[in-house]
Amino acid sequence: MKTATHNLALVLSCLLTSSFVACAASQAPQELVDARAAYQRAQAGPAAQFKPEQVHEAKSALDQAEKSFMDDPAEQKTRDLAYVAARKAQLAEANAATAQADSLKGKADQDVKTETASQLADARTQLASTDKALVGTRQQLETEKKAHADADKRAKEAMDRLALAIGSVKEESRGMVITLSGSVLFASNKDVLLPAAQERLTQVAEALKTQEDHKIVVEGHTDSQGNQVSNQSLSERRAQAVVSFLTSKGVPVDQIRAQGLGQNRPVAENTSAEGRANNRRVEIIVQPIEKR
Amino acid sequence: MTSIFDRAAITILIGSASVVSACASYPVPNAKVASSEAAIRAADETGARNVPQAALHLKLAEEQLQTGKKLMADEDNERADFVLRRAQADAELAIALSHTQESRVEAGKALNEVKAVQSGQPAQPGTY
Repeated sequence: MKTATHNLALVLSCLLTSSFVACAASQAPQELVDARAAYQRAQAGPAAQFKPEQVHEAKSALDQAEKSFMDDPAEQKTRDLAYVAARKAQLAEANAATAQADSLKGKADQDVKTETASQLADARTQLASTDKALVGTRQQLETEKKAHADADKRAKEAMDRLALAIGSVKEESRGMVITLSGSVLFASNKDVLLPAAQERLTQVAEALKTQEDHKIVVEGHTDSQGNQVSNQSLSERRAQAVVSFLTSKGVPVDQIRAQGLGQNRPVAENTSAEGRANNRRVEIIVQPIEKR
Repeated sequence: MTSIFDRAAITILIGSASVVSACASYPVPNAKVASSEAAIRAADETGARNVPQAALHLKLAEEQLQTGKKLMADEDNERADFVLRRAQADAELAIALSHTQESRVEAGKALNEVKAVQSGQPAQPGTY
C-alpha cells in the first residue's frame, strides 16, 4: 500500500514538473527573443548575399541557444548562448555593410579612372587638332610668304627686263623711276602718243602689271621754253595720256595717277638743245605701298 | 522498505556526483580570457572608441571580461566561460562596426571624387 501511494505521488510530481516545463517554454528569455529577431533581420537583408557563411554561423549559434532553452528553460546558459547568437547575427550584418561600402568604393574608383581616362583622351584629341590647325596655319603662312617672295621676284625681273629694253630705269629714294624721253612719246606741243611710243609703253604696262602692292605716279615734265602756264597744262595732259594708255593695257586704275609738273623740275640746263631735250620727259615712279 | 531507501540512496548518489563533477571537472577558461583580451585590443586599435555603436560593444566586452575574471577567481569556471563568450562576441562586433564605418567614409570620399571629376572640378580636400 505504501508503495502504491509513493508511486502515485511520483506520477503526480512528474506531471507537475512537465507542466512547469511547458509553462516556462512559452516564456523565452529576452536574450533569446533578441537573438531570433537579429537572425531574422540578418537572413532577410544584404548579409544573406554578402556574408552567407556568417549568417549560417549565427543560425548555428541560435540553434544551440534554442536547444539549451528546450533542455532547460531556466538555465543562465541559454541566455548566454542567445546573447552570443544575437551578436553573431549583428556581426554578419556589419560585415555585409562593410562589403557593400567596399564594393561601392571599388565602383567609384573605377568610374574616376574611366572618366579621367576619357577626359585625358578628349584633351589629347583637342591638342592634336590644335596642333594640326597650327601646322595648317604655318603652312598657309609659308605659302603666302612664298607667294609674296615670288611676286616680288617677278616684279623685280619685270623691271630688270624693262631696264634692258628701254634703258632708263633707276632706283631712287622715291621708288623705281622709269624715264621716257618726251620726243619719243609726243610730237612737239602735242599730247597725243606717237605710234612708236605706244610700243614702248606697252612694254612698260607689262612690267607695271606685275607691281602688286605698289602705287604708280606718272609725272609729265617740260623744258622752260614758252609760257609756264601752257607748259604746266601740257605736262598734265601728257601725263594723263600716258596713264590712259597704261590703264587701257591693264594697269589697275586705282593703282595709278597722273601729275603735271610743267617746267619746275628740270634734270638738265635749259640753255642747250640737249639739256632741253632731257628736260622734256615723262617719269613713271613705282613706290611700294607703306603697309608692307 | 528497502526499495525506498535504495531509490533515495541512488538519487542522492547521482545528484551529488553530478554536482561534484560540475564544479571540479569544468576546465579553467584561460584560453577564452586570452582570446577576449586579444579581440578587445584589436577593437581598440581599429578605432572602435571613435564609432559610437562600436564603442558601446567594446565597453560591454570590457565589462564582461572583468566579470569573467572575477567568476574565475571565485572558481565558477562554467559561468566564467559563458560570460567570456559574450565578451568575445561583443569585441568582435565592435571590430566589424569599426571597419564598416571606415569603409563608409572611404566610399563617401570616392563618390565625391567621381562627382568632382565628372563636373571637371578637382576634389577639394576636407569637403568629404
